[in-house]
Amino acid sequence: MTRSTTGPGAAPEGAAPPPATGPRVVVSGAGVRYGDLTVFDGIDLTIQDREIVSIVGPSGCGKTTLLRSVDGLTRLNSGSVTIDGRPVEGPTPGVSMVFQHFGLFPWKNVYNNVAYGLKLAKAPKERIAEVVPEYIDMVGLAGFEKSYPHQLSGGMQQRAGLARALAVEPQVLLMDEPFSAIDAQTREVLQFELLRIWETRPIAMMFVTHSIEEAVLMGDRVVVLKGRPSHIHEVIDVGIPHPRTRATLKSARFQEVTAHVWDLLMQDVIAAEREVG
Amino acid sequence: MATERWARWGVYALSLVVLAVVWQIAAAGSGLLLASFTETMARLGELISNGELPEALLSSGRIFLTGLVLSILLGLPLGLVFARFPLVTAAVETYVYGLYAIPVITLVPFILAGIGFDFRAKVLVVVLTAIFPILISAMEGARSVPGRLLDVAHSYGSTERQLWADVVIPYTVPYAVTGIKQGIAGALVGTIIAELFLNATGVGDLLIRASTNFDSAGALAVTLVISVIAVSLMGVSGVVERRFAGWREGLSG
Repeated sequence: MTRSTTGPGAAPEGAAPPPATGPRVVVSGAGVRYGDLTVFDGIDLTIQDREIVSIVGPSGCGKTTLLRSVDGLTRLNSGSVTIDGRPVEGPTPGVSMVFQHFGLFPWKNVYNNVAYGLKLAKAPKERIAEVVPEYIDMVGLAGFEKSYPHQLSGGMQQRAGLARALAVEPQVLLMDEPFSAIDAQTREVLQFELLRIWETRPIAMMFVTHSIEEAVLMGDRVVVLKGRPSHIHEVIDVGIPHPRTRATLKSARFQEVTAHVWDLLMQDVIAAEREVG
Repeated sequence: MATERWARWGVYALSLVVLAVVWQIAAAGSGLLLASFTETMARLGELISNGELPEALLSSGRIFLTGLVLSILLGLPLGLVFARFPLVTAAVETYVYGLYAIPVITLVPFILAGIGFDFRAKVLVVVLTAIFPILISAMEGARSVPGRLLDVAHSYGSTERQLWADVVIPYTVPYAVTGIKQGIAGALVGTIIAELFLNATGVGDLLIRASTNFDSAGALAVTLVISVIAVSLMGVSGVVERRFAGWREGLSG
């Protein structure tokens, strides 16, 4: 399959597609406040094309908020986010988000849910008819086009959510704890399927999760958020080449990185326990 | 499955027979007060064949339908507007719930004095009994669209107009259907109130004439017809409601 960079989500103004390498997402000095509470501050982060960056941190550290600010859903109080050099001021074409709670429209069937982004991007009918089945097939939902979300398991709903996000052929894919509401076995299947899909057409991906194993398995780099207000505590180069498989989980390097991230996060948990106790 | 369905219909038919028998026995001892089942059925046949009942139903039906359609056409958009503009809601919500809570019959003297007792006045009574459940359901529906669906729409760059067409209105449909179902029940009550307490026409007129003439069979026949119509309308709207509410199950998760 060839990767189209002129999809409806890619370059609506007919601009030349951006170069295949180089920074896609640049977050600089980003901070978000809710009233008196500063969620995070001074976040600097660059995501290259074809790079997966995982973000982990304790609950409430603002990792989802950070992701939402890249998607233009949450406004930053300080700093900036640019995508391909353009400042993010709202939802940006070429950026897709996969939501923790799937976010499928319950009154639309799988086909129409997957077609949603393309329809909003005013893609021509013929293109929708061509692209939607391709992505439904890619996520393994062929045959379920006419099913409604409430007729599907959580795993299958998130497959549809993933197909919807990919169908607009984004340059940046934002994953907001996409598998956390899915049972453990299905989660593992989906992790490897996502890696397989990414390996056939690698794009920039931000992957927010509270699972350390998932962060290390998915990420080329793992960003650890910590503190109050939270900030980037450490960025770890995972250094495990693609394709990643089930064998990756057993590799020494995987164990080593996982243990390291675990230590970083557990320091906080232990400190918090002491505070309470 | 099939036998279960037959059994249900069988029991239903049996319950009708039992009702008729009990009615017949009870009436035998009550003299003029309560007409028997057979007398009522005979009178019903008469009212149908002499054209009185069909004519009355047509006349009442016109009031009922006009009032109901107006209630839907006004109630749904008003509910959506109230949901969209919180300041408008703040201004009118109390009065909406207040009017909903008032028994419409208390307003009848004012309507009589202000508009009179023609077709328009009767339709107004029907609208006042039918519009509020419709309006309130639409408002509650549009207000309760989950934030995560709004997020999805915004994330894909939805404009406000698209947001309404793709998310808010489809989400509100099952709520609106439930409201309309309640509105139908309200409109029935409103029609009878209008015809009994403004000037007597249609079914209300039949009822009043039957009771002033001590025609207990006629009054019971008309009442029976009204309840059969009410039950059928509820049944039909229940089917429509379930059809639209199928996806609602998926929201609880």
